[in-house]
Amino acid sequence: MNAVGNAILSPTIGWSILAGFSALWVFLGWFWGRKAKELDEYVLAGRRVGIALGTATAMATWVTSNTTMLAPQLAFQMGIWGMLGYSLGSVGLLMFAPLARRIRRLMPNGYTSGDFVRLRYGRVGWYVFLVISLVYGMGWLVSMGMAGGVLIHALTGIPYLHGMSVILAICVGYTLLGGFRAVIGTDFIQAVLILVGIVVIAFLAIDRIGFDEIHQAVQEQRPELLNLLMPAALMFLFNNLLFGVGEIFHSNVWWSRAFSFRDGVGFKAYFLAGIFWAPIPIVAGFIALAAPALNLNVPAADMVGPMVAGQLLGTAGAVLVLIMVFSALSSSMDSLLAATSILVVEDIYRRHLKPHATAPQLRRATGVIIVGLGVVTWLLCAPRLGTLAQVLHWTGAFVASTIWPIAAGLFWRSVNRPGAIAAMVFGSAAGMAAFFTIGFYVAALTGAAVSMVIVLLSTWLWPQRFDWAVLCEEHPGRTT
Amino acid sequence: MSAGAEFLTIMVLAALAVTTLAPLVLLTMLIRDWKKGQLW
Repeated sequence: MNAVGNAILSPTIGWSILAGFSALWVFLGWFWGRKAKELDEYVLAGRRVGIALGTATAMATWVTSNTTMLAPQLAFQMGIWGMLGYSLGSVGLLMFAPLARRIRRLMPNGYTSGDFVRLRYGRVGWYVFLVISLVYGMGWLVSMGMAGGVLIHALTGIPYLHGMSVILAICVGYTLLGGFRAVIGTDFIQAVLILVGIVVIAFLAIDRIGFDEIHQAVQEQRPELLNLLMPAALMFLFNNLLFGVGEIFHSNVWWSRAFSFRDGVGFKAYFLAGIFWAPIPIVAGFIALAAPALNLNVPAADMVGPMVAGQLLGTAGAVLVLIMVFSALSSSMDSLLAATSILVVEDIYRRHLKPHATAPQLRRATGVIIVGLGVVTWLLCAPRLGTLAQVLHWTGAFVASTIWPIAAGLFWRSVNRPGAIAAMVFGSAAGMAAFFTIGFYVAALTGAAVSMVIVLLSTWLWPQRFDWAVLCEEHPGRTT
Repeated sequence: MSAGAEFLTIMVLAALAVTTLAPLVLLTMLIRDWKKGQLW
């Protein structure tokens, strides 16, 4: 396909928009981060984040390539249930609300989800968890780097490699300059841009085509998309719910926010974020259903969203889509870079390589790791292996196996340690087996089910006692 | 069983209503946090 010929925007307009927003994010990153010299200020924004910024950062971070690329792609492949299934990703945010409150209470000096697993389940469980968490984190980062490249290419004709490189470099730049304060500050602006953009595009789509015409075209050309009993889509619905819960429960992206919110904010922020997030995949997915009405020839399913928006709304709409998607991807990539860097610094660098590292040394190491993560992500994104859904859903088997060990470990004193570790290992293995033998839409479902059975059975048969005070350990970043 | 045009309309309009309200709520909360000195 000749992308430059098919693109709605010229590369010059595309580069101008990217340059303008890149300059804004980098300036804000520098401005908000200029006083963040201490470790706690740099990686957790001083642990005083309020409800507004807390809600916006949780919502914006969870609006990843989902809203802009994957939700339309899944609506185009699985129809109504694809949209609703993606919407159930909000259950993860809603269910994490009580966990966020609990995490803040049990671990006032905590930095990472790895801290919790190490103290709760010991070294073996910690290693298993770190493998799962880092594989997932890189999978998510790569899927978003690819989404950035694909979208910029589809909308502006800018080559995939150039677009992907720019968005990655900008996120690394402002996260490095401003740390977590830059992440949540820009997240607020990005959240508002995403919400306003999606509302405008959806209203314009309804105005230009209308519900009846969209419905009629889908019924004539792709009737399976309106089937409410599509078996694979029903499986996808439950699978996606568990995938989302697993992603949020285990990932340091969400734990670092729980640590950073001021007392009393965690529950409300995650709950509100879940309510605000739930309708977004439905609205974004709806755009893809307009493809049959427009007689669009979609060469790859992961391009359906931007293609429909561009076809419907012309240059102004394409500019809006580009801004919205740039915001959605940036808000997630910066969060992942920040949260994964402190995970690597705390759980690998400090705990394995430099146990006596001071807070300033940890602060410097965090910056180095942010850059390193950017380089690794670029190397993995460059070949563009597979579609966005394949990259993202591959990790579903792993993350869903952590749901029960994390949730039960936070609330139940009696959880059996070897049982929790076995649940993560065998849950991941079973989920991967299901991924390859059945399909991506059952990987998380299988992983979560196997993990649940192992945790419940081992805890029932061999209950153990855990002292919650163990979780309240000291840290050089909190004592100097 | 196939979803009708009414089902699609109601589902998308309900989602749009929440999405329209969300930025207003976020901005209101931001102003309130800022007045109380509790932004971050």
